[in-house]
Amino acid sequence: MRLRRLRLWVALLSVEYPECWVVFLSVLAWAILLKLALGESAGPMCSMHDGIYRAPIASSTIFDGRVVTFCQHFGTFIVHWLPMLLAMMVPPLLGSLRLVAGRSLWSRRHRAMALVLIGYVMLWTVFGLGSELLRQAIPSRFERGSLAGSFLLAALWQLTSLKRRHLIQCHRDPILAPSGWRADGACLRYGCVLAARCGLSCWALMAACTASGHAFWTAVLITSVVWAERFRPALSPRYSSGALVTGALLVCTGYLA
Amino acid sequence: MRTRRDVWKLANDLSDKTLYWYSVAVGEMQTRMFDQPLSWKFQAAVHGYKASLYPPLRPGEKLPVPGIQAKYWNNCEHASWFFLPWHRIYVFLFEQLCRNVILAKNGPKDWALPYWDYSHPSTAKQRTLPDPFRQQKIGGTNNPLYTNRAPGVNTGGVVGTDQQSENTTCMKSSIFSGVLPNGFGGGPSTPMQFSGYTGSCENAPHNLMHDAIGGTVDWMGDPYSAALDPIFWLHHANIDRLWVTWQGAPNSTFPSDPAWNSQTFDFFDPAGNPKSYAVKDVLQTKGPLCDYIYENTTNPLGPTPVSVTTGKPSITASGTALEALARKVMRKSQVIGASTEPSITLGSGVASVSFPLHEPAPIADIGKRALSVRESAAPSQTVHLALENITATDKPIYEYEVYLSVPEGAAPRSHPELLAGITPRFGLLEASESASKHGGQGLNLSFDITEIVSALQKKGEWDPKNLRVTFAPHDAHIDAALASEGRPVPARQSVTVGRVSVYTLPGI
Repeated sequence: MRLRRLRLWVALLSVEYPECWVVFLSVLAWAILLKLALGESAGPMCSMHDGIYRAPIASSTIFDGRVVTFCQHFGTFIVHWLPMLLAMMVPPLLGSLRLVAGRSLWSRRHRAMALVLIGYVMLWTVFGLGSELLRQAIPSRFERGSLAGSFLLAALWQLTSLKRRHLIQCHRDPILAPSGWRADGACLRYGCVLAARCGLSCWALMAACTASGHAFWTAVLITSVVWAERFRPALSPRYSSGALVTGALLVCTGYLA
Repeated sequence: MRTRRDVWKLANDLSDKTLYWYSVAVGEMQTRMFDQPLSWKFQAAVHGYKASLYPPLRPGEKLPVPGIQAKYWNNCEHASWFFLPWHRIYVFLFEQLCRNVILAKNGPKDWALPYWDYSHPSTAKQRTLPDPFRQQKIGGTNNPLYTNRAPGVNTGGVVGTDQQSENTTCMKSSIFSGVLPNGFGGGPSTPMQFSGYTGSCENAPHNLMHDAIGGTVDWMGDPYSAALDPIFWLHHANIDRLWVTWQGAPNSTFPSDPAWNSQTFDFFDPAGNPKSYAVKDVLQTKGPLCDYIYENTTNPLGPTPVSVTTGKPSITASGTALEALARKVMRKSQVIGASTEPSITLGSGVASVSFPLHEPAPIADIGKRALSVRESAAPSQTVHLALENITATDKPIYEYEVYLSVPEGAAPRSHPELLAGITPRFGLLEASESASKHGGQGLNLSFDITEIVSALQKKGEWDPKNLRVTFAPHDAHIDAALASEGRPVPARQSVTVGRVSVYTLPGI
């Protein structure tokens, strides 16, 4: 009887909140980020100093006396990048995912959302790889300066009208075919389009996050800014900008990685 | 407390003190320079501004600095759940501004903006433009209430068609905000000039009457110039009155979402000082900000409560419970069919699109079973036709009548019982522009087709496996009328509909 009732509740949750599994995915991603931050290494090919991820991915290198290939570097990058992306950037997508579910035939709702998510993650991963390569090109003695600088750049970007314009464009609705390969293609494409639009809007925030080497507390700060502008659009951008300037100050004083 | 009165219940000339003093206030504001926040053109530009549509600058006149323009101009909220509250603030501040001018000239202290109830069923005259707005000159001087309008409007013709001016369909919307269906007040959005989800009241009568008054080339037909026409404010007072009327229905409710009621908008107050106003301040016309009532707020559907889901007389409950109920219903909406073409292009002829319909998933009673609620009656269901991502790249465009299941070879107009609704011209181009403050996704409209489907089912003419939707231009007559007045007739441009779909909403 209890099991039947539980199944009905799950069915009800799935009917009314088809995007709920994405929320679970995001919670799981936060748990992984927290675990990484607590120093439990994600793999043998990366090291953590001050909570900052330090694995070079540009080429094969000698690390801890072993040759580490590009593929291994890439794997390590993905282990850090994916949880960060799912934790930070996916919750603001929930409205768009819900809309995709709502515009899809009932039997296709979860498939449609999954395809959008795949498209979104694929394109963001390309962005992430690019920014990671850029970060590693910066000599380590400039790391703190570049992190503080990226926070200040993000604070400035928050105040520009261009940022607000991109934010408005961020969640434009898709035209979805009802079924078949056209519907699948439209969902994947929409995921990529969402990533591109969000990238235009949030590039400075994600750059700050990358500059910190995906450090946990930086991720928390950046996430609060991203979520605030998504879920509390009435909030003045001055608040998020102020939070980022504070972040820069904390970096300069050594309190933030 | 001041009372906004029906303009057609006032004397139909400037001997009436309300209209006389309105013309005095408008005339005074029109003499002020454009860069003054309390001038006529500045107030109009708050709604929308495009240099090519505005009168040329007078000698010595200049535009405000770009920072002021960016912050205070082109701010009108359309196709969004902010449409009604933003326009309530806007019209109220304008009314206060008129009142300040009138008081400064020793006019009546109880002056209030009148409204134009063009949907009133009493006489056809109610749908003609009142005389004081139609006379180009009064006593040899220019009438400040006169401007060019669609053919026939300034000569005393009936304005718009029955479908354009009707106000009963929107009154059947029992939720305030939603996404396909869009509810009475439009879909949730961040603040932007044209978001994309047009509420039922915004489409008819608001958008369609803008089209009827302004036609294809005159001020009222374009959001960037509409507020330059003095009838704009009476039109919007009427839309605001419809909101009050809808609020008066026992089942009406508002979103409790702080993203809606805490949102603020920037204006100049009637003293000319910058000020922000919140949505929550204008949910009632009797305070905390506003101080007026309407002469008549009788619901055109009658006093009977309307069901949240069926549009039929049904339940009553508290506002909070109803809002929760409405949200629950919205969460169970499902697509049962959609057009398969990438998009549908509409031009000057009749166009049709057919697509398969699917059986709705049996989800209606899952909630009841989970909550152990006993079924008290057969679940009701509403059916909605959605036109998604309607866009245009240039204007003018046609309005289109949208019909369901018109028999093969028959003229759509010979089947008025199959008319689902009309697509607007007003704001469509702006909603399609991705630049500036617009969403850029075009408009999304929803029409409740439950009654049409039910009537077709009764006649055995409803095909549950396939649906044909037909589009026919609605206002082609304007071109011939413009030509007969010797005015230029711009070529109509095409409209694209991204997707046509059918949604069902379960009962409770």
